[in-house]
Amino acid sequence: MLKIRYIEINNFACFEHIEIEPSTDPERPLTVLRAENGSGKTTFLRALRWGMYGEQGLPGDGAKFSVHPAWWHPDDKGIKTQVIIEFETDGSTRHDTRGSSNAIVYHLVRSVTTIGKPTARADEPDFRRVHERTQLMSKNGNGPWEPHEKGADWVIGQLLPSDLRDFFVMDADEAADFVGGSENKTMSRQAVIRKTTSAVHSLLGIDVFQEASKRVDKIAQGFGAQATKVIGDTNLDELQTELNQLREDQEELNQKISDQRTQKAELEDRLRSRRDDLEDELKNVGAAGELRERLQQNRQLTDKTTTQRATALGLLAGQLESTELLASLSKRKVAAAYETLRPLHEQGRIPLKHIHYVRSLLETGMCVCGQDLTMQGTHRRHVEELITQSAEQENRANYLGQLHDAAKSLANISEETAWDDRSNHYAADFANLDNALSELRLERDDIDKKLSALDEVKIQTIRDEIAALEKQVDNLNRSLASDENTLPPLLSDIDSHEKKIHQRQRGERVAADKRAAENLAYLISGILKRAYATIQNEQVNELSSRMNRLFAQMAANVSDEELEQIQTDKATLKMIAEVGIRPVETKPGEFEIYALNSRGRSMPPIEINGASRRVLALSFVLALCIESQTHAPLIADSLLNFMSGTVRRNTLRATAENASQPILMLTGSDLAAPSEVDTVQKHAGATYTLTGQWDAIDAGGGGDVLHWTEQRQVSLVCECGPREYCQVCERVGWDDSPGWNKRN
Amino acid sequence: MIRPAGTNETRKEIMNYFTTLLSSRGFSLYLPSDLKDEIERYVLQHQKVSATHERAPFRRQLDFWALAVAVAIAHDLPPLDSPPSKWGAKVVDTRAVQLPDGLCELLAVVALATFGPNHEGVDDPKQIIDLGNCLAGAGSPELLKKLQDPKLRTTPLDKALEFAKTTRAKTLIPE
Repeated sequence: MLKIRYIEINNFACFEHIEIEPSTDPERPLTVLRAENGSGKTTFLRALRWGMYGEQGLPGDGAKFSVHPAWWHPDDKGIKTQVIIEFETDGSTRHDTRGSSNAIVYHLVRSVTTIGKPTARADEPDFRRVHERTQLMSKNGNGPWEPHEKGADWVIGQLLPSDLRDFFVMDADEAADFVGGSENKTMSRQAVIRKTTSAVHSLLGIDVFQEASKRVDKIAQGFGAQATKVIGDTNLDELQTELNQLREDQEELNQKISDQRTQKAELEDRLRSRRDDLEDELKNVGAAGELRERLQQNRQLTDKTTTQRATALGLLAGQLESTELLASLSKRKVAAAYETLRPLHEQGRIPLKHIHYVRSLLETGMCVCGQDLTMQGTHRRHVEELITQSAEQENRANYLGQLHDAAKSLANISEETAWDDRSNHYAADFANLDNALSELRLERDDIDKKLSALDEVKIQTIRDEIAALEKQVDNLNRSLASDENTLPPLLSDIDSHEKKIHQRQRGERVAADKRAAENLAYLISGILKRAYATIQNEQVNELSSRMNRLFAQMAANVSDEELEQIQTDKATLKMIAEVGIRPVETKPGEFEIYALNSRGRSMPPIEINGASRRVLALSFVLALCIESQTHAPLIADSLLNFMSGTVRRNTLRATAENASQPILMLTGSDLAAPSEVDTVQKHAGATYTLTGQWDAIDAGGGGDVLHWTEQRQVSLVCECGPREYCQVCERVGWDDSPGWNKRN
Repeated sequence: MIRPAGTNETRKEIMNYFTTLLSSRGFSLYLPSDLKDEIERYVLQHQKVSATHERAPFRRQLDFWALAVAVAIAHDLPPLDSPPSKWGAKVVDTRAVQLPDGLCELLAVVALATFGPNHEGVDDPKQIIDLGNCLAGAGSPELLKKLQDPKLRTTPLDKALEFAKTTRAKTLIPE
């Protein structure tokens, strides 16, 4: 339940400052705001809408709409517009009517400052609004005022959403939109349907069912999607088949890798073995180099030793040629010769030394006897003959002398042991050299043997084998690496498939739950839809029935009791026999207001007159509020226009009796008849009069305001009732009109 | 002219004295012709280039001839009494091969010992060489026999040296 307790408007269009306290009396809920045309009824509505909804509550382009007072000029300093609305609720909302024990009172203040704005174009606003403020305070029961944590828009949205602003805060023309528009404004059928449907859905709360159904559908779809998601889009059998294939591949690959590793191990063993062989062979090759060097040395040494041996051999063999050997072997002869010659030599007979002496005497010219031998005398000739006769003997003696010396020398030589020594020495040398040669030969044989044991071909063969083995191992390694690299992704794939399968299996269980939830959700949704359909049918039927009754009550002055009769005799309603609301056949879930003539034929709006159209709209609004148990203010402007007589009276009465807090803005003519005055006096808990303080010529009927001023042309409010006037609202001629009372 | 010995001459000069004497004419040295081939087996000069003294202890036939002379003297073998041309083969021409000085000296000394100081052949080179040939003819078989001694499993050189050594030792033992 929402009731407006207080309205204050400051500097809004024609209002400088007005305050209204609508009736909150449940016994007399009606509030009448009497105002002649041009006194600010519409402006009051706009101010109220602006206060509640901000710029979106203003008609047209809200930003261009002037909320500032008419007297304000853009060159003036900024002016602050403010609307204060105080309202109370019982804690209930449109969707939750339970309410609470404590009333919550809200104090909504919306303000904005308008400042001038230079503009080049005439159709551009010469102002702009700044510093818009919205403040919502609330208090619970007798508690303190506190800023509402969710703000004004949220609270208003919950209590009176903006799409229903035309419904609760209605201009009579706008109310006619529910039935196709006013006389001056024809709406499309679709717009009418949309507007009507929105109100029905919103207020009957069946939109909740629709929304709930949609939401449950969405939830069901979500469960479905989750079920699909957890299961995945791959068939379990397919996954299992793929997994089996992958496992086979893995097994095959593992076997291949195992085989390759075995093969590799074997190859590596062979390789190791052959490398060992090669190493051994290479060691030999290393020895071969050494051997060859040794062989070279051996050869050189052998050559040298051979030469030395040959030399030694030559020396040794030379001993056989030695004079010493020959002399020693011939010792007997040598000794004999010496023994023969030695006496002769000792006797001086060999060689013959005196002949040499005599010859020297001859050369010196003096004989041993003292005779001169220089002269060719007898003595000299005798000496010369003696020398001549001794010459042959001398030669022989000299020869023997030579032999003596030779024999002596040879005899000496033959006795010497030098030959033996030398022979032994040479023999030893030779033997040593021979041994050395033998050793060298042995060494050479050994080297040759070792060298011959070396097998270069074998080494090369081993090297070739190693190279081939290495190549095989390399190829194997490459293949192995490739396979081993293939394995992890394969295992990962297997793992992934296993996980998928497990996930799928788990998912199927979850999915089963989800499907169950989905089915349940769809079941709920179905129930909601059926409930929605049922409720919709029931409520719409009830709404329709209520509308019909209200319409009959207002338009045809037919009581409820009488209405039963009317149903049997539609002819009493000549023009419009039945009204109501019905689903649009082509658009399920949407509604339209209909009117049937006495022949049961649907009447297009154009065929319905303006007063009936307003009554029809009002019957819809009131019926909807009643059926939806919506307790909200119904603020209506010019509702009774075009109405006359009993229709106006009945409409006023029905509104006062059926609306929770009707705030009606009526003209003086609306309240001209005593019956309307009585109705107001009976149902109105508060009455006000709005008076534009300006020349009434422009303002229309009602007569000139008696005390208007030129200084500040504003609309003022006073608390005058239908037949009351005061200093503020008094018009020309009221003081002498019968039935009018002046208030102080 | 023959210069008197024992004056200022050195031994070399003495030897050269007899070398000159024995080289004054060309002479032939003989070895037994029936042993010639056998002897040549022990003469290096007559063997292949690769042969050594071990198998051919004597460089030249002259060397075999000289040792055969000494062996004959050492073993007191009488020189062959027939002219060498009767039994021998010329193995050395003294005009082609220079006789060693010591050999010439020894041959002269042996001739003296053999002929006696008053023998005309003492200073006759021909007789001296002839004596040498006859002594070589006498000593060759003995020497060859030693070289071919089958009991000794040594080389001919060893056999020759061993023979020389033992023979020399025997000759050097004072009687």
